[in-house]
Amino acid sequence: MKSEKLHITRHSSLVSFLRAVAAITWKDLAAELRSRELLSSMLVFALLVILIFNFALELDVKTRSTVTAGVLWVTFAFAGTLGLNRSMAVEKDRGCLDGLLLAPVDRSAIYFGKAISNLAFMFIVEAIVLPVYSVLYNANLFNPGLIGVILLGSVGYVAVGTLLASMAVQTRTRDVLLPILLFPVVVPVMIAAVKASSGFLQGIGYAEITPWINQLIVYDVVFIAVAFMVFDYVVEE
Amino acid sequence: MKPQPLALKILNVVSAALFLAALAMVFFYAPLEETMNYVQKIFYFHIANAWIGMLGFLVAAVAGVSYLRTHDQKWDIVELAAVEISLVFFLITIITGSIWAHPVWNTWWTWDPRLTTASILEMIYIAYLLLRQGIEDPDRRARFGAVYTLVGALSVPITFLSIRIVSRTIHPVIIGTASGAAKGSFNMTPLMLHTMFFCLFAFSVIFATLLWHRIRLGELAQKIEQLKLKVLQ
Amino acid sequence: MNGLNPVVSIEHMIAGYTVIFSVIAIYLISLFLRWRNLQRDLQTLEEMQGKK
Repeated sequence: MKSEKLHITRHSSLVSFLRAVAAITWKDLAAELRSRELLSSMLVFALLVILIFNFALELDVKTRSTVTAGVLWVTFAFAGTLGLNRSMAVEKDRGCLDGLLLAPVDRSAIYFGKAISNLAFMFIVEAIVLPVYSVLYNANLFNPGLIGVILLGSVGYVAVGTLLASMAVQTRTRDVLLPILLFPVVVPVMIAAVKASSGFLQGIGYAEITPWINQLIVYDVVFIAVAFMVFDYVVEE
Repeated sequence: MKPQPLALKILNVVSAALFLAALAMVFFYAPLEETMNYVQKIFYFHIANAWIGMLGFLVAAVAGVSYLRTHDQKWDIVELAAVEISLVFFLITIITGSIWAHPVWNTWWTWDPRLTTASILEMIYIAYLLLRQGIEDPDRRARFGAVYTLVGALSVPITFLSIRIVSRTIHPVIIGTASGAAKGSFNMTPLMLHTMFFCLFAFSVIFATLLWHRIRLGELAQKIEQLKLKVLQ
Repeated sequence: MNGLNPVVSIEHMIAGYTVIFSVIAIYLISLFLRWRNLQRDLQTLEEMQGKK
């Protein structure tokens, strides 16, 4: 990888922090724009999962409405794991992580930079899966509530996922370990996201959906805060 | 390695005695429950085991945070000990829960909040052990362990609450529902209450004893690891 | 609500307590075995250290 210099002027630490975050995010996005290997593998995987669900579940018109939310979130969860793994592995393999650690910037900037780029990749995949699913199953998924839930849920998933992936990539077992670490801990997101998504898709009253949205928000806030505080310990040398 | 301190030896005896006493209470003191008969007797130890599981969980969480703040390896040893013990006792809790469920609700598994959360917690514990196994460096192992413990400790309560909202539980409401309307719940007579509290107490002591033993084991392991580095240079 | 068939009930109770005893016993045994192995390792290492 070409050494990229992080131009950090020292006039304000918040500004330099944000610049560092932006630089890291942009590095990932730019790299992906060139090679597109991460996105393509995530996308292909997601579509395959949907395909498998078609055969695994009886997706007749009636059951479909109850099951759509679950199928979507399982797909996102698995594709998300793929993305997280690849994203952190690239960092480690190419030695970029060491380079970043040498830069005179707060470690958590690395976390936010990676998390935002991971989130961006997940959003892109989700943005493609939704229309594809809509077409394949003749379901209207262009529901603003649903999209909001997908946003909130993805944030929570990626917040914890980036932290855990940073750890997993430094162990012997690497890729295999991330889902094992992540899934039990991300259960609240899955439950709330599926319930809320399902609620929006089936047009259930807003009052019933609100607790789930609240749960997503609480989870997101708590875990972004925790990851921010604890990331230093994960990349210490 | 230093021999067992007197306090620990005493605790060993006391724990064993309390365990036997608890058994005696369950079988001879507590009355036979009318609707569920004998299988209800599992309940006392089931609850006590769940209680120790939770104690272990709390100890692990506190130890994890303490390690991150102090970087003192002894907290790491406590954390691992607590996780291991909690894992064993939640395993018993889950299995006895299932055995109890079978004749009462005619199903081997109920997706109720407590049982489900306990299972998720077991998986987190196993993930924790796998994480530690994949790391050579003791310092990194301790750091990662503590971070994961913290993440788990925050996530599990949220999981429990949210499953509770989801399911109208068929897990029995334990303490004194008058009508016993929820199927499988039963009235706790005073003798049963005594037994239950005694079991909780007995198992708490057993927990402390086991934790101490496991910590000693961890200390020995640490000593050996350090010695290996020196000797096998 | 009819009472449970006592035989079925006793069987399950026995199964439950068997599980409780076995798992605790297995854990205690594992603690003991691990302790013994570590003690042996310690002895070996101390001997090696003594020779140096």
